[in-house]
Amino acid sequence: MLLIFALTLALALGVSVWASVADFLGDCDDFYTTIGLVEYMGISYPDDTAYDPAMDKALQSFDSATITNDESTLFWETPSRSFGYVEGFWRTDTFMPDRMLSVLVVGNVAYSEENDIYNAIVFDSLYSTSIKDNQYIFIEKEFGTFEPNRFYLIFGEAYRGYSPILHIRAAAYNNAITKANGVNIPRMIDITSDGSDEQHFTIPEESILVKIAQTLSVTNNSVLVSATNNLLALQDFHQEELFFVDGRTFRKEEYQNGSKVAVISDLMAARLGIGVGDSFELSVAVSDYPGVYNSYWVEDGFSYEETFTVVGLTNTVMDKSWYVYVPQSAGVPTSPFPIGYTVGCAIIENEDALDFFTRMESKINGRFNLRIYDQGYATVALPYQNILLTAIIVTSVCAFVQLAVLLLFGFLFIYRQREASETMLMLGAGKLRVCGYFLFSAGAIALIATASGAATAYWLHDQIILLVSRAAGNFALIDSRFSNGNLTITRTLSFAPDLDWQLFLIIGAVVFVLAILACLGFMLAAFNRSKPGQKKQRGPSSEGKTSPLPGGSLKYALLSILRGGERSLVVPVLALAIVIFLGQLTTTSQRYQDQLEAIYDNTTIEGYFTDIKGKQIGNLVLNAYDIRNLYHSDYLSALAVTMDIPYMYLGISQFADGQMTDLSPLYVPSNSYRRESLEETIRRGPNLTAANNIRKSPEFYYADDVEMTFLEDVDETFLAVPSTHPQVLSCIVPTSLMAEHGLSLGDSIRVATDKIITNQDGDRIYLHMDLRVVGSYEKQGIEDTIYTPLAILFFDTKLIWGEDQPASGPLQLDADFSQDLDPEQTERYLKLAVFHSTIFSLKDSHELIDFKDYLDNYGYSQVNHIGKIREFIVLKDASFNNAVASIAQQNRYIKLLYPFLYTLIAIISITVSYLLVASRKAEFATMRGLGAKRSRAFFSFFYEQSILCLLGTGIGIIIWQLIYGQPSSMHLKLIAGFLISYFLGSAISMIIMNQTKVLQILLDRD
Amino acid sequence: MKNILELHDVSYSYFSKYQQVDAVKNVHCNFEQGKVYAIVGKSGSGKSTLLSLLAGLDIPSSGQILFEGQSIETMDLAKYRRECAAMIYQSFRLFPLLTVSENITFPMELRGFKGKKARDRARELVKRVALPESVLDRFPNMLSGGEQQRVGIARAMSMNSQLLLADEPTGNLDEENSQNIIDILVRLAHSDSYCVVIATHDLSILPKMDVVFHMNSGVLRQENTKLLFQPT
Repeated sequence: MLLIFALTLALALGVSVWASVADFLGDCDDFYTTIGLVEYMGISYPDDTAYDPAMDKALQSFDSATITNDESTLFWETPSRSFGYVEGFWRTDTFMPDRMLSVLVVGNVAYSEENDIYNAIVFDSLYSTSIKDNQYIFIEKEFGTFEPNRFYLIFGEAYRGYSPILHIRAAAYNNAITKANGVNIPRMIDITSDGSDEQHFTIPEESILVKIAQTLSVTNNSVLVSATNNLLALQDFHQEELFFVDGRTFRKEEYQNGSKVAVISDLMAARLGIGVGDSFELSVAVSDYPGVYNSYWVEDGFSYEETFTVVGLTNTVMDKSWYVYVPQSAGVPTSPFPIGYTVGCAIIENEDALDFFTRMESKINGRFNLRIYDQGYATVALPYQNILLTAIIVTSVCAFVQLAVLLLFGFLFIYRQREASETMLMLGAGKLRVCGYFLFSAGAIALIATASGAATAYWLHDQIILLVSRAAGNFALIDSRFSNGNLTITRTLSFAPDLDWQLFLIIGAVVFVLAILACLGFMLAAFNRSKPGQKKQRGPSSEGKTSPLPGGSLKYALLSILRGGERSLVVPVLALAIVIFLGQLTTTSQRYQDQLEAIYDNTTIEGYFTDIKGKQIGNLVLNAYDIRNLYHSDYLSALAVTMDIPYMYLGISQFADGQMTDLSPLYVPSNSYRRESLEETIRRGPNLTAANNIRKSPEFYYADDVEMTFLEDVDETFLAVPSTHPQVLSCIVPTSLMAEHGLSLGDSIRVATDKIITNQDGDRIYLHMDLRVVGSYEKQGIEDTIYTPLAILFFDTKLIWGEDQPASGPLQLDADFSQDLDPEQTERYLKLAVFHSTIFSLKDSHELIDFKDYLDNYGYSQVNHIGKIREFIVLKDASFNNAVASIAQQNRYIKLLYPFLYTLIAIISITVSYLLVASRKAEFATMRGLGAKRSRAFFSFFYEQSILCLLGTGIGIIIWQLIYGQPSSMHLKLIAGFLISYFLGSAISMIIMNQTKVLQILLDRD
Repeated sequence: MKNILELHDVSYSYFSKYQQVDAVKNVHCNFEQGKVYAIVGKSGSGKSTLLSLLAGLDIPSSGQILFEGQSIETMDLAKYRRECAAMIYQSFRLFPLLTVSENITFPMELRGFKGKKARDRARELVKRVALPESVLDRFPNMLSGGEQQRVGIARAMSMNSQLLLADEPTGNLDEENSQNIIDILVRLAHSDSYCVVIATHDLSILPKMDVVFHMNSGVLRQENTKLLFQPT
């Protein structure tokens, strides 16, 4: 009864955990949505409105079927975006395409000798976000000559220098439509009236500059129309960067029936003066030219105009405030060219996310990149998935044992009482009555046991659920801190199941019914059992040959083995099976261990610093002091950093053949307005990037390969090792720069920065550097970045890498200035120094968790989780974690299961040997009755069992060796354990028999 | 005739599942060489227990059993069973996986008497219990009940002890086989000076017995055979 009670309790608790966890996982599936975002890591990534020709080209070979055909993909959508305009909406964000372009009517233009610049009054600002009517401005001389008392229509770019007065400088208008039409865009047009209409000037309405103003007023206030079939799957909504402050998302029918409904930002709604339920006119322009802002030209107008009703308002995020979301079925024309870097977004099965990532990672190559955003599903659900599996195993074992116990119960309480039932039948009690009698008594016991077991389980289940909830933390197999598999926001869903008492009632009832069925089965067996007849004698079936062996225990054992027939086969077969089984267990365990080690050994985990969203790897501000400490943490094997500084190309300072040029330095203009203008130009220029590994620079990090050409005896490691020309720093420049300036490898070029120094002559000049061009490369973007060693920016690499720099580590060329720094000065120096990108590799993947602890303790931030230091780190360990977790999970099951199996094998071994020896009690008694000593009897049977067991074990080991090779030491240890168990069972059985009086055995038998 | 076995106030009790069983109570008797004794009584009267005590399968709870004047309690019981008392069982108790020859030579081997000599002795004993030599290489399950019991007797004889104890030797045999077995045992006593003690409830064999004991509830009482079988 106690056993049935205990097992009912265990079964009910197992089922309750199973049911509650399964229910919770179902809730998780509903609550969380996992998306896989495929992006192109282009040079302007993550600009969401950029057009990247490289991406456009790469998309032609991108096969989305890889994703759509995957079994885990539930939904796949490529972006459908277009240029739009909503009358009445204006933008003030910094993402406007031509924010500073202005078309102005100016007058009272006068030249200032002192400032070497024109000043003017704005009479009419046809288009400008910064210059208003009647404003005093400066106009750069490059516009040409302005006549006094004339009025001009000018087109240029406003900018702010050191003075509060805005400047206008000449600017290009990069509208592809105008370019394609060959439209000539003048910088200024004299619009002074002839005086006939009392107007000082007349604005020519058909003028190209007026049309530019009109176009700018549309493009700079444009909206980005994003058509979708699943708004909430879009990354911004999925990651809750955007959320609804009013209204709702699109309904299913709106996605399907072409409803003209839209979701806009509350900022846009406020500027339009509308709310949820109101309508607005949406205009859309599509052109044959790539680039979202090349979609519109005033003369071409819009290709689509329709009234849309607002159904939802989102919060305002500055870089998304001008987005208009509509259902794809609304039929809004979409740009044939990609806008932004999103290739597509897939909704994937929550629980398959990690496997999906692993499958796709190898298929999505080049600059295409897959990121998984699961809203924290893996963190929450994975431990419970493991608990569920454990609960299923435990419950199944409980059910199996329960079934066995119920059968035993039926056997003991019914079948073993068959003589009583026979007597009752003989006395005339009908079968029904006998059956009723036995079932009632057994049923009463079963009822008490199952009812109390189920009731106790109901009473305990809250505590068990609490334990499960706590245990979930221990079941987390993946440490997702800083992982590229965990770039997601985390939504919280608590495990708080509410199980009904009916569940426990059902379990109790099922166990009770099974108990009754078992009893009934044995009752029928008792009724039907055959009458006892002449007991068949055991022994060989054919005449034998009397053994000539000398007497003794061994002889008896050998004869018993040889003549035992099938009985002699039982033990060897069992031993053989156990040897093979143990081999399989150890091999499986070892295989997983080997796989794990192989993964650890073959994986180099890379990490990078990034922004809060985990997207940028360049243009960051990273403290060199922190990077130094990171490198000195002893966890890293490689560290690649870059430092950027804008430059201005000045010319060739020395030709490859050694011929010097008379290139002057860049003097600081004495005129402050000139200086403002010059420095503004330098700062907008391309970057001089000091790096120690060009392949790990942001430009090339996602590139398949870097095409580089070098002077003889030079390669890309020049960035990391001392230059052979200590007086001249080396650089690698883009081929485009070489072509533009007619450079040859070996030439030295001079570039200027915006930093001012005083030269030996006492002149104030911009700091310049003469760089020997030792190589060229094919650039990935539009910028002409020049790569140089870190020392170019006066960064003493010893401060990070130390004196004992690795062979591949960078060496500074001109860093004597830092030699005398004491530790405090070094720290201060490093705290002021800034890197703009940092990429590193872990020395040993075994140390991943420790490294994450280090990052955590140091205070580094994770994507979406801000730490003490606002420097965000991502480790590219998602696939590694997935692979390790998968094996770790198997290992966990092995650790849970194997001790149980080993114990089971030991119990089986002891039981089988015990029973086999005990079944020879009659022979034992006869032997002892004939005067055999205890030791003789003991060894007669012990030898027999031992020989049989050793025989099977030996055959098993030989078979194993033939098939799988040398058994492992663990395998051999387990075999030894099995043998000891088996011998122990035999010995115990014999010792017990030896301690029983022979007379007692004989009396029992006879 | 010489007393081979003397019982002085022998009692034996054991604990069954539910109670203490006083199987043998204050038995006092002697057994002589060259005589056949029968102990008769109902099932559960204690005759098999008494026989087992005589066979040295256990020692009495009280009293003494003297074998040739020496208390068996002071002897190595295994040695006593091996050398002094041979037991014949109702269910034969032959080793199923040993041939007839091996079964017979088993007690000899226990005494260090093995090899060809032991096998020759087995051959001789088989003849003495009126079995053909051909049974020597057979296994017990190939023999009839009567044959198996004869092998049992031959095995008992092989022990070379002068005391043969037979517990219901004819219990599993038909009448003809029973008579043959009894005749063998009587012959062994009368011709070979064995002391044969037979526990039985088969009254038909009693006329051939020299001494008949009646056992009832553990108490042994000698019967007068002449009176028992005197024609009325």
